[in-house]
This record gives sequence, C-alpha cells and structure tokens, in this order.
Amino acid sequence: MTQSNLQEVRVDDLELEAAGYHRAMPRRFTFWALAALSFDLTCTWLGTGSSVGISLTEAGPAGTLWSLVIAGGMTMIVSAGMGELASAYPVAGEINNKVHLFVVGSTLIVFQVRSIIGLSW
Amino acid sequence: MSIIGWWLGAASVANFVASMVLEIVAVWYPEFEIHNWHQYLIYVCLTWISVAANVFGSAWIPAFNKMLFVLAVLTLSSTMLTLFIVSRNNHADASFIFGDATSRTGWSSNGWSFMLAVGNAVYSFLGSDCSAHLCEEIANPAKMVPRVIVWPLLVGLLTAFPFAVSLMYSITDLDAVFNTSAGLPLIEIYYQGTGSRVAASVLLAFFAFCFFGNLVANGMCYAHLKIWIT
Repeated sequence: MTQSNLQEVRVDDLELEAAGYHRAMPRRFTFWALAALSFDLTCTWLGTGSSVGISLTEAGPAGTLWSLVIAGGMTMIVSAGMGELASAYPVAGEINNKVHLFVVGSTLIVFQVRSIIGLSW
Repeated sequence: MSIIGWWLGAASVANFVASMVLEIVAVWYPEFEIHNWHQYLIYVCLTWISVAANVFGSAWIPAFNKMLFVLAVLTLSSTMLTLFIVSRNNHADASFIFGDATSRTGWSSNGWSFMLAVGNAVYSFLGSDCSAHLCEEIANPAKMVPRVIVWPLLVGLLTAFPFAVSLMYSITDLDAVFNTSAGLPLIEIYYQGTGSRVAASVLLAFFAFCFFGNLVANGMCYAHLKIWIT
C-alpha cells in the first residue's frame, strides 16, 4: 500500500474510534472488489431469468419488462436512503441499531419498524 | 431478523440452481423421472459446497468474486447476443413483447396481477445491502459505501432490462413455456430461441454457475452477519 493509502486507512480508523467503535476486521476490500461482490449478490439478471415464468403467468411479457423497471426504481429510492444512513454510520450493521433515531413514535412501533427494516433486507 | 432474511434468500438461490441442474438433465434424458427429493438432495449438496467454500477457501473469495463478475458480464452479453441473433428469423413481434400484459392467473383483476408481478420483480433486486454490513472492510467508507450500494443496482437494472427483452424476443410458443415438464421455463425459452438442446444446456449451465457464485457470496455475507449479529 502507498503512503497515502496508509494515511487514509488510519484516518478511517481514527474516525471510527471517535465514534466509539474499535475496528474489528481488516480493511482488505477495494472499491471494485466490493462493487463486484455487491453486483454478484444482487444478481439482477439472474433473478429476472429465474422468475420469468412467474412474471409471464402474472403479467405477460410486457408486464415482465415494465414491472422490472418499476421495481428497480422503487428499490433505488429505498437504497438511496439506506446509502445515506450507511454513510452517516460507517459501522457494520449499525443502521439496524440507529433506526429508532429516525422514527417518531412509541417503543412498540420503533421495535416493529426496526425489525421490519432488518427483515426487509 | 435479517439473518432469517439472508437464510431465505440463500435457500431460494440454492433451490433455483438445483432446479436448473435438473432442467438440464430433463432436456437430455426425457424419460428420466424427476422426483422432488432429487431436487432437495441437490439443494442440500449445493448448500454444503458453498459453506465448505466459505470455511476452507475464504482467502480466495475476493478473487473468486472478481472472476465471477467478469464471467457474469461475459455470460450475460453472450446469452443476449445469442438469443437475439439466432432467433432473428422467427421471433415474437413487438406488440407481443411490449404490449401484451394479460395475466393468465385466476385473479379477476389484471391490475392486481400486475402488482403481484412487481412484487415478484423485486426478487431480482434483493441483496444490495451487503456492503452496508461490510463497510468496516473498505477504505473511506463514508464516501464509498453509498456508491457501492446504488451503482450495482443501477448497473443491474440496465443489464437486466435488455436481458429480459431478449428472453421475450425468443419466445415463439407461450403455452409450451408454461407447461414444461421440469418446472423452470427458462430452458424452454432458451430452446425456443436457439433451437438446439446443446446451446440451451450450455447457456443454462453458465447461468447456473453464476447463480452458484451468488450462493457462495451469500454464504460469506451470512457468516459475517452471524459473527457480528448485525
């Protein structure tokens, strides 16, 4: 790793320590490795090919295509919010613990929202 | 709760890969009777292979993921080009591909059936939050993690739409697609598009291997979640 890389990594660790967390896993993913992993895990085209039979039964060919676009748009809106939260709390899985800060309501509703968000992913 | 979500996602992927393996068998040996326990045993075997890959080969997982990305791009482009070019003489017409939205389920309302199809399409987009759980393992996470969440979704949508168009393009007999013997319509679409069992089996084998790579990555993220309970 170059010197600037080392400094970057130390800055990230210091920011994490300032937030109260100790980094527990080595930072070994590059951007492209994580993007490739994310592309593999989402595997949009594979899921589309596998569920094409059900889509054809339910909505026909045009419905398959346009429902994909609609679902993609909705998922991107939700992911934009998720990305913003993940950027604010860059600790593994911290979003699930911090949901109660963004929900106004009683404890029961907060617990349900937290579990629903955790389950929906 | 999110652990159960990852379990179910991994189970669905393993189920699809098992049914694809059985599809290829059914194409080549039509007199072989496929039972449900065949599919279950292949599913269990695939789950164990992906777990073993994560436990014993975890140092090679990032390289495997990068290889799988390149393979997925190659498979996707070659499948699309094959389906478009080989079926250029007998293909579905444009009003069928972009205009036929009738539902063949028993629901009385077409709109409700379309909403069900949208719910089904969301299956293609699950799993993009893995990077939110891995954000301790990347440098400069505050800037990189939102990009890693949104960009693969965008790329996924832009690649899945032409792929779905190519699948619809090569359907010439819709009823045969619904009444396949082995349970997955995809190989019937490949067969109608290419006209040969060899091509359909090869394309589906690559498809199944890419999906299996997804299972291995799923296992890795699941193990990560299990350790940190997040």
